[in-house]
Amino acid sequence: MSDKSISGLTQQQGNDGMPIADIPGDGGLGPDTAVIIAGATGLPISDPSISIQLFPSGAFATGTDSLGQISVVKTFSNSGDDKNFFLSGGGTSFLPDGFYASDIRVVVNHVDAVIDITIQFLFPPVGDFGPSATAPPEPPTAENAAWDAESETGSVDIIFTYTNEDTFDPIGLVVLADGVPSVSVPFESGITEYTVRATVFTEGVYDFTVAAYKYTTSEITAESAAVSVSLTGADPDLSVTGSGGFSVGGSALIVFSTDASGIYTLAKNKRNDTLYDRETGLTTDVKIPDPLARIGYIP
Amino acid sequence: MALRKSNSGEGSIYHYGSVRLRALGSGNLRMRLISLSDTKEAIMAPLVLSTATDREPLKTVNFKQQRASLEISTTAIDEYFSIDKIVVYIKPVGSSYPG
Repeated sequence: MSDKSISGLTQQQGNDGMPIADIPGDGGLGPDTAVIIAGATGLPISDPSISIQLFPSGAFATGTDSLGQISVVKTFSNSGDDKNFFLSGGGTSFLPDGFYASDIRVVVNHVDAVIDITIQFLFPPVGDFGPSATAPPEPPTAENAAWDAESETGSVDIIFTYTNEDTFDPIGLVVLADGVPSVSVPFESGITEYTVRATVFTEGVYDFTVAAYKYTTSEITAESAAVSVSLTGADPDLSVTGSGGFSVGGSALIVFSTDASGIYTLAKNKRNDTLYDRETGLTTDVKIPDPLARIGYIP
Repeated sequence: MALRKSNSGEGSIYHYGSVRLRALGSGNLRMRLISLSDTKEAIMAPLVLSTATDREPLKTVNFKQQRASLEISTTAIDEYFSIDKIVVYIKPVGSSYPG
């Protein structure tokens, strides 16, 4: 049995204590080896608009099973619903829009594969939806229009159909009142008929339209450092090495590379966490990981 | 609308149409309705928070479930929210699922 080594990523911790890379099992690596890479910023990834791009390269086996040498498993953080995406090797692949994952699992299915995978998180421009609908929804119809003089709020049911004819699903479908976004509804695969209640705050006559919002490749900007995971195969064993760490805005690397620890200090109106480097005394402010509140079930 | 207590927990199916909030803060308030066991969700349009406002905005949603929970959160650094009131507008649309 050849020597197996694991270095780099396995020793690095996200600021929520989650290892950003982990080798499951007893350490024996071989076919169907999985490298679990947690998301970018101390994670989990929770922004449904984030995409991920993979750049596999290296020597791939040829033949009938050249497909499926690598698969990527995305794990929904809430429902536990896993989905597989297969790469044919040597290319670039985008996971579909609406990526919502707590970790990404790269699985090598071929014992002879010598593969270097660069994983790049891609973020759409903040605040710039820039609709690039390639298949605009059918013109909507409006029903049950009503104006409430007391609350100075008008509402109307907007009914429309949308069938996606493009490779990627839209992020959402947005109803616009006189060209101004009024309400959005998430796109659901397989659903073509939508009814949504739009609200306006000025009495008048409105022209409602519907747009399918979608990001194109050119609109996506990469804001994270690429992480390379090298999987080098020698039948039947593989070694896994990793280098670097995920960094979005530069803050995550501080967590990975310094001797940062300490105690909490409560400070009035402070709305972030501060990391202290014990060696240099430098501090870094990082976000509190996605605070949330949840009410009881209704009714 | 007001619901009689006897309606609660008897398996009726409701349409969740909108949520009205009295919310202050900074950043984007992200909201979603979640079904029992987190099997279904409806992500709502984010609410842009401000430190002072005279509005109690109504955020619409289209979700049909027997029961649902509202989750509110922020995701960016220095974002925060303070909520005084949450009103979830629902309407019964079915008596129960078969079987």
